[in-house]
Amino acid sequence: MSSSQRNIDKSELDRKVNDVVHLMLIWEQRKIPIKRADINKHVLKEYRHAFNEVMKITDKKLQKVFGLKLLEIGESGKRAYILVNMLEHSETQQMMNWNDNPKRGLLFTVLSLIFMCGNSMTDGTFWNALKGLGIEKDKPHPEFGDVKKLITQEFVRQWYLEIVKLPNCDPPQYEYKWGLRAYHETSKMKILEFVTSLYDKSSVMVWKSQYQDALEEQRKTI
Amino acid sequence: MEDPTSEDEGMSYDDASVLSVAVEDSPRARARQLQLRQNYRKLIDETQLNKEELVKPDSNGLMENIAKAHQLFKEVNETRGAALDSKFMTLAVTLGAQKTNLLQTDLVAFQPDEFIAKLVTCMGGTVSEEKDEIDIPENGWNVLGQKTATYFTSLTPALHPLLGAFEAIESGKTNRQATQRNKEKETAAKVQLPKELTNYKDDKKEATPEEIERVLHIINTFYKDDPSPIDYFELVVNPESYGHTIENIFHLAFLVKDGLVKIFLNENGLPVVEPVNIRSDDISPRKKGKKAKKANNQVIVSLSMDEWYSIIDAYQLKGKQPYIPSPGN
Repeated sequence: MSSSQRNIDKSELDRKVNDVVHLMLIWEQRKIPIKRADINKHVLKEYRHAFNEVMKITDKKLQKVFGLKLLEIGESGKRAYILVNMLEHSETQQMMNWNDNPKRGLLFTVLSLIFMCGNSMTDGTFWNALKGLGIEKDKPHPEFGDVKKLITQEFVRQWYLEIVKLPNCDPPQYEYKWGLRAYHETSKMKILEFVTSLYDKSSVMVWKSQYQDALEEQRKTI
Repeated sequence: MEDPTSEDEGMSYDDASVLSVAVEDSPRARARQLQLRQNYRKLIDETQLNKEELVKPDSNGLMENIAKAHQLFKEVNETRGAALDSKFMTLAVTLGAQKTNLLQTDLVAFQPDEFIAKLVTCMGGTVSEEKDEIDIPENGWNVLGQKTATYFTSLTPALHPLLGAFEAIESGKTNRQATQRNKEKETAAKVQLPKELTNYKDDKKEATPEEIERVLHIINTFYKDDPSPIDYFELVVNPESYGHTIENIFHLAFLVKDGLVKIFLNENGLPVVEPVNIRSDDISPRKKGKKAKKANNQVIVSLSMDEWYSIIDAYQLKGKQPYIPSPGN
């Protein structure tokens, strides 16, 4: 922190905090994680030295007023913030009319596929499976348009998916995995519950290895 | 077809034995090597092409291809052929690894195809017999999204400010069809000024004061000859040009806004246009006062191309000269 920092006064601090809250709620439209640099550039500007202070209060405000938690995710060099809903999810959330349902349906399908196939899929297997849903990698889709762009760019930019290039492969092959955001917006156990109900099975435990995996994840987060 | 596994155990790929064999160097031998290399390339391409099928746990294709390569290698006696063999083996090994990954040893194996098929049903769709036609209803993805919403632990709503965010993440420029009204005028005026100064090409101008004057003049002329209200659609529709029709609607809107003409519904319920006499006693001496006894109403007129065609038919305007001739006439 520079030694020439000005002490930010209370009213200015409040204003900045409100602006950051505003910014985060609007940034959520795109679902792209917001970086510290973005917050500094758009709101804090000359007060970037007060970043930590501002963010602490912003988090409190978001929680108290909107029930949203500010979460910092990512490794050093690739760190960003996302908003996570604190409220215990209830039936009412299902009744709400979300306007991006189709995308969410596709996203959930993709995440389920990847998890159930052992947490990663090669791009070949991945796109082959999607064919069964009428989705072709290079053909425009009536609902989603450019599906390849949606999955490989938008979902990746939103940190729902991670696509890694496999070494020593010619022609290049890619591995599709869950992105960091996916872990915070759903859980392996939830996916298992969905798949179990879809297959009309008696319990999640019929999926032996996936169940173990999901249990492990549960233990880690508690 | 030989059994590859037993063959493997008996076979010894001893490098020394391959190298110590006297290599025949005749055109026939070289041709044979060339053919081997071609076969290898074909095998590699085939394997690449079918890799999806080959990695499926219930497919034997990979083993078959390895056996084929095995056969080819028996005759290879130079490095190029051996290099191709290595390339094939690398490919086969990668696929083998993927295949292992997909191998299930669970109580209930997870097969992506099965999962996908169930999803299609969940969305209310059908898969035809030949497995070629997948029919998902229009609402299918929406339904799926709704159903899966419960399995998300966090669904965050975003803020969509009515007038747009204070920073332009989303540019919310509304469509400047000629259906918009007064709000547009200020921005339109600002846009006009630089255009007028720098660009003297007339066809680029949309709503200069001259154009509006011209329309007003035409209306007044017609009204002078025949002092009855003019039918709105007869006035604005140009049967030759949809674009110009919209422009006319646009210009007329300005005239109404400035209180120079008025539009109302006649006894048949059809909109009609009448110029407003400036010297009428209805109008107060104030410039921007209430134009008539009636209060200011805001109306949005929209005209799609289909509607435009219908009006041309209904009013039988086809071939007739439009009230407002296109600019450049």
